[in-house]
This record gives sequence, C-alpha cells and structure tokens, in this order.
Amino acid sequence: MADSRNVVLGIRNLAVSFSTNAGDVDAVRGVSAHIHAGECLGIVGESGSGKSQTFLAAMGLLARNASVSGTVDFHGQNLLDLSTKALNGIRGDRIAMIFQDPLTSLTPHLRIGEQMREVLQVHQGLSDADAVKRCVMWLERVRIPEAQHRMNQYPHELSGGMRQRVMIAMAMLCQPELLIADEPTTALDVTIQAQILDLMDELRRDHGTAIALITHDMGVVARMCDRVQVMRQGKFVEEGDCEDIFYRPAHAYTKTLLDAVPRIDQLSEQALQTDTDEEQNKSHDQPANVTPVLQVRDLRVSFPVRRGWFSKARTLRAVDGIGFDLYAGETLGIVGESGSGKSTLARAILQLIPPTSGSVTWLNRELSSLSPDQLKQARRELQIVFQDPLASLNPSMTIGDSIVEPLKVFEPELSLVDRTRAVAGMMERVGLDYTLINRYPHELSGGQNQRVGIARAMILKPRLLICDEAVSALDVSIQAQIVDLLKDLQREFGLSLIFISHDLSVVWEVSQRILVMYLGSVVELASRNDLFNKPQHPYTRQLVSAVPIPDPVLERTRERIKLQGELASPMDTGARLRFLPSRLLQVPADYVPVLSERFPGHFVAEHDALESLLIVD
Amino acid sequence: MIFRRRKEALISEALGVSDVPAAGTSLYHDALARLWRNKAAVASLIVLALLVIVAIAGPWFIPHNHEDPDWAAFRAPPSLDSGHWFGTDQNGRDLLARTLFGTRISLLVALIATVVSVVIGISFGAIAGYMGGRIDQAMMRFVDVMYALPYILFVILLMVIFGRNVFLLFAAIGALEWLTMARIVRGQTLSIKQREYIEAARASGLSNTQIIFKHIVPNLVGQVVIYATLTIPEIVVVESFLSYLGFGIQEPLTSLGTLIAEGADVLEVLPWLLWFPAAFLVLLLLSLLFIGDGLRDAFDPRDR
Repeated sequence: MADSRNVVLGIRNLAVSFSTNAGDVDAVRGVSAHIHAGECLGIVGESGSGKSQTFLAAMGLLARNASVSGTVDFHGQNLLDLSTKALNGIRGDRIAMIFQDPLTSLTPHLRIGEQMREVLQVHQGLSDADAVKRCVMWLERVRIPEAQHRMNQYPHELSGGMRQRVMIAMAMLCQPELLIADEPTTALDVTIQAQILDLMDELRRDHGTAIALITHDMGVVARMCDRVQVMRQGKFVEEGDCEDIFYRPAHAYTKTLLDAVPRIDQLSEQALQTDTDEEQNKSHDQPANVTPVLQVRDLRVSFPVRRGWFSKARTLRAVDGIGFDLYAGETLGIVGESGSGKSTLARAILQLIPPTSGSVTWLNRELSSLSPDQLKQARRELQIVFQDPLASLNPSMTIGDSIVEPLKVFEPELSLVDRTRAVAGMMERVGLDYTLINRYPHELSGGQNQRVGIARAMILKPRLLICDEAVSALDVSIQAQIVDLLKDLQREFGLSLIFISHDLSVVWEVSQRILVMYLGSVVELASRNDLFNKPQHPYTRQLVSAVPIPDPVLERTRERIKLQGELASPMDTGARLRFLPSRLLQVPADYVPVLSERFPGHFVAEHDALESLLIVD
Repeated sequence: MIFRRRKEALISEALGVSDVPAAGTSLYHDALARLWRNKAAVASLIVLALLVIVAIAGPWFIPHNHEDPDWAAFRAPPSLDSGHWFGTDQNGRDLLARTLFGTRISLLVALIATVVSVVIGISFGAIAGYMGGRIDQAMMRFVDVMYALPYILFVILLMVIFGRNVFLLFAAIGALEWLTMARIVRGQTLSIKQREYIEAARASGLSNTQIIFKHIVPNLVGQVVIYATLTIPEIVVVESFLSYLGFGIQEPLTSLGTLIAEGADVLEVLPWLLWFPAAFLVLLLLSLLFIGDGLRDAFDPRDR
C-alpha cells in the first residue's frame, strides 16, 4: 500500500560534515529516508544524533562550514543541486518548516500580520486584501481567538502556545506538501503540546500534508507517527512502522531508548519496589507520630512589577499560600506548568529568595527567623540541584574546585589531602571518574556536569535535597541514569527529596507524594497512586490526560480532557478562578481557592464540576 | 606554576595514585589558543612588544640623551652618518632619544591610568551589580553625574588648580576612565548574577564578598581584558591631546603628544619632527587596537 502512494521527499545517502577548528565532524553519515503524502514520519534520536541536521541539509539551511553529499529528491529535482533562488521558491511554498522555539523563529519587530503576508506575497504574489483574508482564515483554522486583532500584534504579545500556532499557520499558508517540524512542542507545556499535536494531526488529515516530525520524545512519536526512523550518531539504526518500533523493537538502542522513558501508566519495577516498602513501613509505625522534617505553612512570595513610569506597581504573586509537610527519607514531587511558581517555591524554601510571608520550619527551627550565621549553618543540611548543568557550574573553576567549595566553607580545618579524598570519593559515588577532577565544565557532557552538580550538593551530606528540574535538560537515557543515582543517594544517606519538574512522568517515577501547582498555589496534593488513579481536580485530570504515553495503541485511544482557556499569566487576576468560574462574581478578585482534605492524605482545591469546564466542540 | 605542581602532587598523593589527573583546558587557555591563531593579533603583539622593549631599553644604547643639546647639530635632518638617525630639533636635542623617551612616558601614562580604571571600575561595577537595589541605584547615579562633567574641562581645571604634574595627570585620566569600565562590569555582573552557579554558591553558604571575588570577577576577565586593551589607546590619545593643548607633560619630560605638537608647528621646515613621533604613535595605537580586536574574537568566538 505504501508504494502506491506518492513519495513527497526521498533522501538518499545524505551525509553532512562540518569543518571546525578541531577537525572535521561527521554529523550525518549516509542516511536514506522517504516520506509519502499524508504520512507522518518520526525521526527520533537524542541530542547530537544529527536528526535536525539531516533536514536542515535537505532544505539547504546549513551553516557555511558544512559540506553535504547525497541526493534529496523532491518531485524529480535534487534539492541539493538547486540554486538558492530556486530553493527559495520551494522553501515556505511547497516545503515548510517549524522550529522548536516559537519566540526566536518570529521576527520580533514585525507584526504577526506583516510576517504572514510576506510569505504569501513572495510565493503567490497575492494582493494585500487577499493575503490578509487568507492569513485570517489560517489563524482561525489553528484556533487563534480574535484572529483579526492578532494580525496587528507583535510576537511578544502572544503566549508560547499561541506563537507556535502562528508558526504553524504561517507554515501552512501556501498549503505545502511537506511540513518539517523540528521539536515543535519541546518548549511548550504539556497541555499546550497536546493542543498543538492535535492541530498538526488534523491538518495532516484534512490537507494530506506530509509531516516529518523530528523529536526526542517517544510519547509524541507514539501519538503522531505512522513510521519511525531511529537515529543515533548520524545514522538510522532502525526503521519501521510505529507499532513495530514500540512493540517489537529490533535494535538494542531502540530498546534502551524505550526502556529509559518513564511512563505514567506503568511504574518501573524499582519504583514499585519503593511503593511496597512504603506500604510496609506505613503499617509498622503510625505516620501521625512521625514529625515532618520540613514544614511549609502558608508560604507567599510576591514581586512588585512596574509597567511604565507612572503606573502603580502591581504585585506578582509567584507563590501564593503554599503549605505541605515533608518527612525524613521521603520524596515529594512538585509538578506545574511554566509560570506556576515551582522554582520560586524551591528558592523560598532555601531562603535564597526571602519569602514575603508564611513560615518554613526545618527540624523545628523557623528558617526566616535565623540570624545570618545560623542560616549559614542550616544551609549545610539544605542543598539544591539546578536545571541547566552547565550554567550551574562556574566556568572558570575546575569541577574539583566547584565540588570542594562547600567543604571549604563548612570544614575549613580539613587539609588539602583530606578534602581531595572527599571530592574524589564523592565523584566516584556519583559515577564520575576521579581523573576528571582538574577538568573544566565546558569539557564535560551535560550528564557529567549534572553529576558534578549533584556531587557538589551531596558533599556535605545534606538531609534535604531540592532538585529543580534537575533532569529536564538531559536526554532520556541520561535522565534515567540521573534519576537512578538520586534514588540510590536517597537510600544511602536517608535524604528527603523535593523533586520539581514540569514533566509529570519523571515526577511519577521518583515521588511518593505529588503536589500539583497552578499559578502559585496548590490545586492537589496526594500520594502518587491516588493522583493517577483518582485525580480530583480538573486541572490535574487535564494534565494527566495530556502526558503522552509511549504506547501507540493506548496513546491514540486515550480520551483527552480539554478545558476552556489558556494557561494564564500570574498577573492576570481572573486566572486564579479558572476552575471555579461559578464563584467569579461572588468573591474578591484575588481569591485563592481553598484546599481541603477530600480523602485521608488527599488534598484538593475547591473547583467546579469537570463537566462544566470542558470545551464543547 | 610551582604552587600548581605542588597541589597536583598532593592531589595524586591523596588519591593514592602515581599519575596526576589530566589538567583541563580552561576557557582562558582556549581563548589564548584562539588568539594565537589570529595572525593580525599575533603580529600586533610582536610589534607592541618591540615598541615596549625599544622604549624601555633603547635610551641606554644610544649615545644621546633626551634633554642635552648637541652643540654641533641644530636642526639636523635624519642621517645615518651624523649619528642622529631621526635628526635633531631646534635645540639640537636628538629626536630618536626624545621619541623613545616620549613613548616611555606615553606608555606609562596609559598603563597607570588603565590599572587605576580597571581596579576602580571592577570593584565599583561588580559591587553595584551584585548588591542591586538602592545601593546599585546610588552608585550608578554617581557614575552618571561624573559622566556629565565635561571631561577635558575637568582635567584642565585640575591642572590649573594644582599646577602641572605628571602624576596628577595619570590620576585624573584614570579616575575618569573607570566610569565606562564600571558600567560594563555592572552590566556583565547583572547577567552573571542570574546564573545558577551564583545561587549554588549562596546555597553553599558563601559570603557576598567571596561570591563577588571568587565567582563573579573571574568570569568578567574576558570582557575586562578586551575593554582594557581598547582603553590604553584611548588614554594615549587623550594624553597626546592634552599635551598638544599644552596641559600635559612639561619640559624637560616629553611624550608622544608633546613631540607631535612641537613637530606640527614646524612641519614646513623640519618635517621629521612630526613624522617620527607620529609614526610611533600610529604604530602603537594600531597594534593595541588589533590586539583588542583579536581578544574580543578569542573570548567570544560565536559572533564571528
């Protein structure tokens, strides 16, 4: 059946190499692929596998130091032989691309309408009026509300999800035969991702546009793709139908990749093990008798935001009355979309940002009442691991110096030899070879740098470790290793962990209890199983249903909960009542829905019935 | 170097292994390696080094001195035979000796003024940027006020009040040049402050002083070095300009600017009095500018 269909793009033996100061780098080493009309081909691989370079090369968009060989056949023309002028006639007209970051791929100083019209005028020579009509039509088609009005707005006035929709509308303007989507949803929140993927799928069905979907996310592939090419180190290691790849992977790399992906529908054996341990512990001693190590009560952090000279400063309430307990050796997961205040919460707990009000009690001591000296001593037990492995290390210090620094502060009496021993020991413990001790961060990989960050946090043997998106910037296989490392360290040192992430499936994998945040406040707090099996709050239910599961059959039959409204900004006063619209007129504008214990240990913020919030199609 | 060797030995002793763990390449090594591949910058470095050596050591090797007249040769044109390779001025003083001496003074002014501006600028800018808030506001408004003072007028007033004094000149120029450096450093500090390693340092219990001087200042080096190399020629020009106006270096001392000013007066009769000092100045400025340019490329290779 596949052969009878029209091949849109055929790539044969494509190789790309870059000449750099350090010699030639082969990014792509002879790959062949083809895409049929109306098909979605997934290109999966980890960072540096050459998946983006393959398609950038096909479009003639590579940097100047690249050399390309092979053929890229598009309706009998070899795209690699075409002049830039001829290519420009094809690019944007018959083949369109959308990129990862919707902010940087739109020109900031041009209005949405001007950018879109330009495409039509270049390729189809439409008159202004016709072009505007067509643009508005497409903006409506990608479900942008008030399309006419948006045409006059600048890119920064739209939210991330909106901008990506504009990019898609722009790409679709000339009704291309092929849409190349390079990580189109990676920078977006999971609920927005679900909407964008649905939209792309719809366009494919309605217009027969072929889609080449480049991604690292197996869940997205399971949801969208007909065929999959798995790429590694510049080569395709496996090719096949989506179901073959997921259910009968042949290549070892594909299997590793699939195994590394955390899934919210089934926990890994290790995670299940901790669950049963937990159950047993619970039956032995009564949790009521155990005092929590960390108590957070009604914590608030707000920032004054001033727009313009004469307007009154408004307050941005980044963290808005959060409270929870954390027990020794426990992992609490905190999930929320961008702008929900997760990171601010982490920093407020550690007193890196002074809380506006509320209390953080660590082992019966109120942190904000401590003197600077006492706080410094308390910091010994409270450590943090950050998101960006490279940015969290001082580039001008060797990694050994970075790891040893906390030791120098707290145990200045140690000799150089003892300190070095401690550092080497900790490096081995987190899986780094001690010979790397004199290296600089830029000489290591992201995963290695993250291990350095963990070693630095662990060298004082803290009792609480906060992981702020600690694995989000890493590839899935590395991510799995780091998660395992954190769990090992937790068992060994009896650590309490607060694991913050926007990625529900990772949080799922590590946490015993999970706290869901929305605009600075808690919407639901429950044990992992309760949260997945009987989520109560509409927002949680939407989140859980939006997380892609790397299982094509399951993923495509799952019912998704679509709620009204976009994820709003914390500055927007009405947004807090998004799940409680029935009370909009009765309560003050800054009302925060109240949290109550619906089942033992399962807290839910007040909300309206789910049915009243659904989008009516 | 010795300290480093010792530290490495201790490290391998601590680890109980005989081989020292491989040393890494820091970003500065990387940048220097890139600078080394930049032909224009390397050539300029060589030219600059030659100029400095000649200016420092040269006067000892020539038979004349910058202030004593040669009674046998007034207004002598350049010639290899007479021993006055660059000729002499109206007072019979050897121009080669005077040019070398002038270069020395100009370099000294530039060096001292740059060091003053770098030290004040880094401390001021890094503290303002790191502390933020009101402290930052107050410190930067002070900089703005200083900026608003007409610079040349300020120096001239100082000269008029305190009399002409070379050291005062150094101080005055340096004390004005740091303003731009402070602004640059503050801007950089503001962006470095957002990096997570600063938060990590705070979470590790480091004090503000330790954070500023251990985590912020070392990461400013690239920007500071670039700007400092571009400051040196600026100061040389300012000094020359002040000397040309007659407010700079006083006889019997001399500088490139003074020499050029004197030469310009007699350009039609004794042209060599202008050409030689001017050539030295141009050579000095060009090589410094090329080095600054090369450093910028080396420290920030993305923008090429």
